[in-house]
Amino acid sequence: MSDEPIVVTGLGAVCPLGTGTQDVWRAFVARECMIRELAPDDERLAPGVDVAPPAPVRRAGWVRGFRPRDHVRSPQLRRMDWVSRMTVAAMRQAFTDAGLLPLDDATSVRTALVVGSCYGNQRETAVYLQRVFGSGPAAGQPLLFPNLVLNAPGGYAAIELDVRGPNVCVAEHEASGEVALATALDLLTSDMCDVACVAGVDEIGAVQLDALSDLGLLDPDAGPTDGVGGRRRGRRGRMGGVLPGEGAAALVLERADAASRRGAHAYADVAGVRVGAASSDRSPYGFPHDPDRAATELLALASFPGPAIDGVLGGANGLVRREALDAAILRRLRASGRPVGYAPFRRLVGDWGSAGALGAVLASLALDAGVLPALAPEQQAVDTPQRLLLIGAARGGVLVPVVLDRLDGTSRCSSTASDSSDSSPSS
Amino acid sequence: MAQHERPHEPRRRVVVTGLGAITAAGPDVASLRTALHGERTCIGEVTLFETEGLRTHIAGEVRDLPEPRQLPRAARARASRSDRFALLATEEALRQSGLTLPFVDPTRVGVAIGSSTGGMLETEAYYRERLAARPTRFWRKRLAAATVAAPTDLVAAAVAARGPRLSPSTACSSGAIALAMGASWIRAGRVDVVLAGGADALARMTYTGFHALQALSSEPCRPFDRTRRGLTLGEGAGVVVLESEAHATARGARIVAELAGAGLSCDASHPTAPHGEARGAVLALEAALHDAGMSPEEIDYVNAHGTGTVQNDASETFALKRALGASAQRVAISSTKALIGHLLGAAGAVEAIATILAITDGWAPPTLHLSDPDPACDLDYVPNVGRPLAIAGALSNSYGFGGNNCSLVLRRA
Repeated sequence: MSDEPIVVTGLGAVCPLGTGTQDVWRAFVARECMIRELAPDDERLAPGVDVAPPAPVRRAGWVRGFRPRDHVRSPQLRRMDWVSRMTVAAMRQAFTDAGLLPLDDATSVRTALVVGSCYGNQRETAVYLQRVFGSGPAAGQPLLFPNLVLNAPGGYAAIELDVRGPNVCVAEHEASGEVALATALDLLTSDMCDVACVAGVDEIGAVQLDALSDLGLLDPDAGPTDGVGGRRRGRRGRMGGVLPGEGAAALVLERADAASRRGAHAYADVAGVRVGAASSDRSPYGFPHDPDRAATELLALASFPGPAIDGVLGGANGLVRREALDAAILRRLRASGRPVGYAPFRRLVGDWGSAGALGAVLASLALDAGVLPALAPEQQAVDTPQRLLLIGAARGGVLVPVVLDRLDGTSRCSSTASDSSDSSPSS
Repeated sequence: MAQHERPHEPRRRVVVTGLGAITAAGPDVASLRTALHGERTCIGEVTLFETEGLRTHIAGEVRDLPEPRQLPRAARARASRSDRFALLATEEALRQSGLTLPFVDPTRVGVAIGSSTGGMLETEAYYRERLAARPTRFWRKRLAAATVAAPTDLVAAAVAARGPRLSPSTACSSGAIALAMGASWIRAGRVDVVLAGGADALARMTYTGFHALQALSSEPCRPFDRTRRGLTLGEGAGVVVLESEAHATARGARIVAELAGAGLSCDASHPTAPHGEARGAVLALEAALHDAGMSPEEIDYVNAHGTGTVQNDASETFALKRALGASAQRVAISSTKALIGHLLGAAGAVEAIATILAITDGWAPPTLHLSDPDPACDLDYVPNVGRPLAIAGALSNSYGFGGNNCSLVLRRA
């Protein structure tokens, strides 16, 4: 086993904030809310692309302006579904950012790809099943079927980038991105690879929107001004309401000494990621229902040696229990009177099962830039954060803290951060 | 540089102390063992859904599905067929291991259950309802529960395990990768026990999808046979109790076998077809042997992926020759898919169990329906009739869509 430090050396993203980390960071610092109505002429509403959702649930964190051809070179592009296209683009950005492309033979077989996704390819699944039910079992489409497995994006990414090491796709509901990070670390520390590119990806599917809406779990009015702890309930029900989003975010992880040897820029040090479960939950379906106990247990999982946590990328998404967990964690961290920044980034982009990977990208950028921006007027930015906590949690009582530390060195995006007038430091 | 060139270091041994399986052969490991010692396929007519208009109507369907004893109340209406398979196999594996609930330290118990489609059968029912009318709340709640991660979460909740959990979904290698990752947690000292395996139910999506790809055989599959025409799908679950050797020994558990090593790789060449020179499969085999610190000479038996498709069986034969060298001509190789079908996300776990049974029973199970060997598949596939064989070391191969490969090395305890 290897216990060498692991660092983040490459980042990529295709999400409602933009395509590429520069656009994403700029929009994040500027607190741009990207939750919008889907335009009536959007190609995703065309017949055969998805089962069209009813109008009231078209408001979400849609990815727009993403041109796959700018990022994907493989002839497989024409076969790829939306989830695979976003994944391949984000992973290519991350590998390019890390300075690893093209991979030579030796690096290729020692490089792993890990993709986390909650639902995978929803749109083509809907189209496929609609056809099978409408026209009979023999109507299954051979070109569509291979895209319906959850690991299709990882397979396409391996072809696109010629990555021949371990290729793992994982799902853990709302913590799929964080669990993918944990899996990548497992592969690195157990010496199954030298480099791991981990991505979290999910898309918005009409049937998912429809079902969430009917279960009363969608909040068509939610936006970036919601407070922690459910300040505004409005049309939301007892459990609160979420606004879905979609996107892919990718990080390249490698051992610090290897990164240093090849002169790679490191954004952040991965202090650790742990997967555990709250002790109070025996239902496989519910979110941790005792926020105080879950907060204590999550922070115990997150107790890696190193500096104190001075910033949190929260998991708040409009659901009451999820917001309560963030609030309980912040109460504990701030109990000593120490300022702790808070950035519930899902308010800008919506939520998807693997959005934690985007949280990890934003945390890496924040540590590199030396500022965790404030996302609401009543909050303050954190100057030169030393340790950031990404709160990962999912139904079934799953808790997955991701802890990233600041490294000394030259930042790639500090100028963008210092240009932001809204990022006044709190410490 | 090959993937496996790093020096091998001593580390914690991972042992197997419990087995659980539900397959077309029956609801337990004893049924699977009987099938492995027999010469009769468990493949029959599909009854779960309509197959009208298709060229084939057969699968390795589970006929007897008892209610799991540990099924949480909240899951009674929502647990999918795959979830129930996973929990039943877990209960059996725990019984054999002698571990009792509640666990002494639940944070030291991990769960890793792989699945390719999770609750797809139930998801399909939702879609059908939606096409016909507005689905009721019952169906919406079932849809929300019918995910790929659900078998893992259900097992973790039912046995109150609070350690790490993982739901690998890498198509047909999901179950094998679950075992590999579970073993890595034990080796890292993070947990003492892992419930690892795979679960998948038959579903219209996979059945019609493989049919559309012209990959389904109209008769029970004939791995490595010249007249093979494709695979036969199956369903079920396999779960093993993995433990650190120290933990198992300390509690006086009977050690069934050792999970000595694992190798993971990707072909990176085609979304569905294996690489022409089996480069990913060779890499996985070599990495697994290196991980186990074993040489090809120490392998006596291989449980092949052996799907019965033209491409897979020839490619796997090529990979075995490349990775095992001269030993490929000596080892006994069988595909158990002709007995119980291809269990997709559960295949790797159930076939690891079949491999362990081969080791403990000293019995190489047969490859059924192999009467006209393919000249391109010229190794010893134990055709039609099993035979006694002393097995000290064995390999189990799993290959999936996306060029996803995983080989496991299992060793006699």
